[in-house]
This record gives sequence, structure tokens and C-alpha cells, in this order.
Amino acid sequence: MSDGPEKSDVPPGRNTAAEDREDTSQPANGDESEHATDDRAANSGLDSPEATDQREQTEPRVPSEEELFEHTEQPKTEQKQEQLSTEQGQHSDVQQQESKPVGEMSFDERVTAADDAIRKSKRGLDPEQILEYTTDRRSLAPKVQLEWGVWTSVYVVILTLVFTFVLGNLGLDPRVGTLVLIVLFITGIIWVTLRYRKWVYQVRADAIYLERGVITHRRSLVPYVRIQHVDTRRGVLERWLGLSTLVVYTAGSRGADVSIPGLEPEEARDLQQRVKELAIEAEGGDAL
Amino acid sequence: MNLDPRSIPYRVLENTFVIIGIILFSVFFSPGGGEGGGMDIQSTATFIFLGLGAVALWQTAYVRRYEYHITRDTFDIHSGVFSRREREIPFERIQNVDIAQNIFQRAIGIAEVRLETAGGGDSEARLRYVSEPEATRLQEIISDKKRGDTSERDPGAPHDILFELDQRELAILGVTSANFRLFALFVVGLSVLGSPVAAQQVEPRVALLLLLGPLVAIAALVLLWIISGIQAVLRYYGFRLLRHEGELRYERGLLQQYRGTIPLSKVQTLMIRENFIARAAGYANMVIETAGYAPGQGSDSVESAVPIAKRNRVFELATTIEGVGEVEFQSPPKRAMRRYIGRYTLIVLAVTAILAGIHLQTGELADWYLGLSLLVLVLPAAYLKYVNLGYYYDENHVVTQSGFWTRRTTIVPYYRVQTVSDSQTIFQYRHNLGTLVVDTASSGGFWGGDAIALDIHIDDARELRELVHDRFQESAKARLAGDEEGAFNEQSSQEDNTGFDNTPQLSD
Repeated sequence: MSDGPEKSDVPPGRNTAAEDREDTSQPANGDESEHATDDRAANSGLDSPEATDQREQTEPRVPSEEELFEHTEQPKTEQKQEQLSTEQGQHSDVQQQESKPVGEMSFDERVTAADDAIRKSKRGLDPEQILEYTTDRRSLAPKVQLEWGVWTSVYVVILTLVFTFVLGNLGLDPRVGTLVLIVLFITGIIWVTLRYRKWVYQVRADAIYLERGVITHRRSLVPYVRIQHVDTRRGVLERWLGLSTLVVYTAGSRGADVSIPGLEPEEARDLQQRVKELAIEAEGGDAL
Repeated sequence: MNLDPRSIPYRVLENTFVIIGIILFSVFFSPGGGEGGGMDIQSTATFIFLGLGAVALWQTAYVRRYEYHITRDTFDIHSGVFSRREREIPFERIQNVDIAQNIFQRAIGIAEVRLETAGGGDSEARLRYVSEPEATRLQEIISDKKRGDTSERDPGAPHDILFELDQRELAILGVTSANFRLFALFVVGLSVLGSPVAAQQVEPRVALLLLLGPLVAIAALVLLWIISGIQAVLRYYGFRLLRHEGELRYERGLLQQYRGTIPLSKVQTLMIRENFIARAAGYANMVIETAGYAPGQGSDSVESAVPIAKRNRVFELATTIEGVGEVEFQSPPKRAMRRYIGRYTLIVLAVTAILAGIHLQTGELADWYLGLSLLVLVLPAAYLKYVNLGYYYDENHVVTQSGFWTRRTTIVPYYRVQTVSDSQTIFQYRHNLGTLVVDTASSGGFWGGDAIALDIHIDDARELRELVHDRFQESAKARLAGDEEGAFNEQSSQEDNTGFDNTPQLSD
């Protein structure tokens, strides 16, 4: 988490097309925004439970109007976009009339409010209820690097042993194995660090957004309407390190389960709750 | 209701082959029979008798204990001799209803009925076997119940014949349906492995025998071609695709007959496939994929919903089923071709390196450097890969195309999108290229399901990702609104969308 140039004013949602274009032509830009997200993760102090509680109360905040528009901004669907924008505009009006600010509600209150909204109509699409469940772009807990590091080390050691054995059989100096170990280990560390930096997730109003991958960088959208069920999962190593994985299942044929690793257990539960509520709210047919 | 009693003898016979096999095995390999005599005839006969008896008893019990009921909302199956299983399948979740009959089953008038839902890998229900009229009745009842509407059923509702395979098309199907992956395996296997082995065995005539491998390979090629052609003809003999009240129905098969239903409301994607022979002749086939499985899909591979037709007719059918208009593909940027040139060059170099390695180790393959001659193929291959790539999107669909040997065109309506993502490998990063992957719930096997736009400009990929997502959200809302208006009457909105009211005349 280097102290990269401050760029936290950049709206945390999806980049506009124009920004994306910059992004690719000048790789440095991409790095900066990554640093920005890193900073955010570091600032939120994921390590102490108190901090997490704090975050829980403040995070589901009312998003800025900019963010509201982000979700609909799309150069190629101008007509529909206008339609949607006006809709969203109305939504933000409604928002101002609300008596109790969302930020002051406790988590339980928010859940109850959301449940009520769902009960009121089959499509409880009160924009406020949805938006308070959204998050900005978040990184994983830095601890996850440790988890990945352990696994990578195991693989590196096994690979090195195999390699040394083969080299020994070929009559080469087995000390080459040490070199291999060092090279693989450094590669592993770089990979783990990069992987951590590349990981971004965001609970949007209508989909979960994920960015991940070093060799193949993937950005995915998982619409809530399509979610079948949501799990949190904790392996042995994850339990030791105090981490948790959120797994979201869709009916899709490819990567049918989408997982977000390296979450603080509280955060994983919180996310699970958010995604669950949003999925219920977005109910539509048999998700096929 | 129970299974048809005639299925008992058939099921016994079905298992008898297994039993006989086991008995024959035990007769010939029994420990006492080392001197060539084996067991005496009497004990063998007793064995067979006992085996048959046991099988008959078991099958009778199984058929007797197998019950199915049609309730208001579900199809219930109670089965099992010792351990009982009670399964309830909600009608609205049933994706396909298939009837299969082989020649023996047709002779005694029974049929197998399979029900598919989106869950699980295997068929959720296999009724083995019911009588022919019962099978048809079940198919009708289930498709009515699925619509949640039993009141205004018109038994003589019109069947619109969407497509019928004629003799000429059947012949073309036979010629063009070759399993090329098998071919490639054979050619490589025989010409590479066969020749040196043959050459080693008879030293003096090396040159002649080196030809033997390729010759055998060619013979095998022709033989395989003929076999797979006959197979395809038997499979798709008398193929007809009908539309019947919001459902597609198909019939096909000469020896093994299939009749299946595909509810239009469950269609996930359409895939149009043209292998290079069919493409040269201007023909294509189409697969209609649902979440249950692709129709007629056996254990081996995805089969076609429209086995073969003129290319434009297939696209017309796609228009009828999915309402996709004129498709004008956009090509990826030219620089994508540079990637393929690089990739294929590397592959050729790697192959040559391996040949050289073998030469160094064993002394065989003195002409290993000839591998480099494959470099000639790199440019054409890269070009062919490139020209067959394309993507297209309109108000309701995203369409992608790729592949030279078999060109696959995947049509995905926005409301079937499951997840959408763009990806960029470090190799694509250098060229500012990316890949758009639109995932659906179709279970079309390895190749099926997803629309993949390969190596398009990364910005386009990202914009498209958002665009597809936004349009998906719109269409999902629109469909839900439509559902609430006419509860369960999904078909009506579907038909409006797809312009079924003025179904185009498809016969040439």
C-alpha cells in the first residue's frame, strides 16, 4: 500500500468510456487508480474489529449524484440512457424527502427497512434501499497476500524439488535448484502482490462488479437477478488468518460461481447480507 | 400411474445381454476350466436360468414399484424397490420433454420419456418405458401444464412446420457431417507413428513403406467420413421442426426415433455452425440451446436442432425463433492478426524444437529442420482465423462469430445474459485488445453457451460489457413487467417479440 498520488476524488464507480481509453493508452494511470483503492483499503483500517464496525455504520452512505448517473452512462444507448437518467433524477428527489438519513440508521434498521420495502411490492425498487446496499470500489484485505503467499510457497517448494531431482538425474549441479528456488520465489511474491493490487470488487445497484487477474485481467458484472445463492466459505488457512471468501452462484455455464476471497469475516457476512437483499429485491423469474 | 407392463420383458432383455456377457465371461475364464473344457453344459444353463430369473424378478418389481402422478403443479415420481425415492418436478421448471424410441421399442409399442430441468447433469426423470400413446399424452399434458393453462386447449392446434429435411439436404448432411477432430487424430497418429514403425520392421523398402502411413491414414479418413455420414443420416432421417403453441417440436431418426419439445420461453442461445465443407457448399446447421441441455444431446456431443439447411434459411429460422434481424459483423482490429501470426510462428518453432530435441536424443528424424516448412502455413492460418472473427449487437441481441474449421455464430438475447465480463491477457495488453465474454445458462457443452468476442479493442470490450449489462437490466425489467400483466403468459410477449404472428414462409 504505497502512498501513491492521491486520486480518491475519482468517483469510485465504473470508469466512463473516456477514462477507460486513457487507462489503456497510459498504463501509469491505471496504476494510480489502483493505488487510490489501496489507500482506501488501508485507511479503512481493516485490521481492527472496531474499525470494521465503524465502517459498517458509515459505508452504506447515500451516493453522490455522480455515482447515480454512472450506472446509466452509456454512449451507445442514448435514448434509453436519457430515460433512465430522468428516472434516476426523480429518485434522488425522493431521497431528499426522506426523514431519517440513511447514515444514521443502524444496520438492523436498514435491514428491516429493506425487508419492508420488499414486502410492500414484489419489485421493491425503492432506489434508496438499493443504493444504501451498494459500496464503492474496494480492495481485498491485505492479509490475503499472506494466504496466497503460503500457497505459492508450497507450490514453489514442490516445483523446486521436482526440478532439482530432474537436474540431478541429468547430472547437472543440484545447486542450480537453489537458484530456481530464488527465481520462482521472487516471481511468486511479485505475482501475489500484483494479484492483490488488481483485485477490486464493488457492490453496485444492479450487479456485483469484479476486477481481477494478473496474466488475464478480467472485469465482470454479475447481475443480482441472476444470483442463485450466496455462500461464505472459510478454509483452514483462512480461519487461521481471519479471512473469509464470499461465493456467489449463478446459473451460468462459465465461471458459474464467482468468489471474492480475502475478506474480513465481518465484511464477508455484511457483503453476503447486502448481496442477498439486493438479489431478493431484484427478483425476476427463475434466474435463467 | 404405472409404467407400461410391456416394458418388463424389454427391460429384462436389455439386461440379459449384460447377464449373458457375464456368464460367457465366467464360463471361459472360470478357474476350473483351464484345460479347455470349462464348465459342463448343465451348470452353465443353470447359471443362465438363475441370472435371467433374478433379472426378471428385479425388473418386474422395479416397474411395478415405479409410479408417476400428474398433480396440479408438479410431476411426481415414486420409484425404487427397496430404497424409495419420491421426486416432485414443478411443471414450470421443466425445460424439455423428449420421447425416444429405438426399433425394438417401436416393435412392441413402448417409448422412453425424459424430462429435463435446468438443475443437475442427468435427466431429472426417465420413464422407461410407457406406451406410445401415453408418451404423447404426457408430452401434451406437460406442455399444457407448463403454460399454466389447461382450459382452452385445442387438441387440433395447428402445427406450423418451420423446417423439414428433404432428401437432398439429407445427402448433403451425410457428406458434410464429418467428425474432423477424429480425422485429425487419425492422420497425425498414423502418418507420424505408423511410418517409422513400419520402416523399422522392413529395412530395405523404407521409402515405399514411409508412404504406407499416409495411405492408411487416407483410407481411414474416407472410412470415417462414410461412417459418420451414415450415422448422421440415420440420426436425422425425417427431421421436422414444428412450432406448436409457444413450443418448438422436433422429430428425427430412422432406427432410433426422437420426438422432443423445446419451449420457446426457455431458449437460451442459438448457435449456427458451419464446418468448412458445409460452408463451402453454403450450408449451415443450428443448435437451439436451453438450460436443460441441447436437444437430442447424447452423452457424446451437442446435436443440431436444425441439422442442415442453406445458410440464409438457417438465419431466417434464427429470425423466426429469436427475432434477430440482419446481422452485419464487425471485424476486430487488424492488429489482432499480428497476434495470430506471432502465436502460430511460436507453435511452429516449438514443434521444430521438439523434433530437434528428439533428433539429438535418439538420432531419429534426421530431417527435423523440415518442420520449419510449416512456417508457410502461418500467414494463411492467421488470416483465416482473423476473417472468421466478428461481433454484432443490436437492440435485443449480441452476436459473435469465430472459428475456421467450424465457424460458430452465437446469438444471445440480452435477457438471457447471466454474467458479462471483459478480459485482457498480458499478450492482448500489448495490442490494446481484449475479449468480451457473455455468459448464459445454456448447457451447450464445451463450445456452447457463451458469446465470445475475441480480440476486439479493449475499449470496445469494456463499453460493450456495460452496454450488454444495461440492456440486460432493461430487458429483465421489461420481461418482468410483461409477466405481471399476463401472469404466466410468457409466450404471448415472446411471440410479439419474435414476430411469430407473421411467420415468414420458410420453404424455398
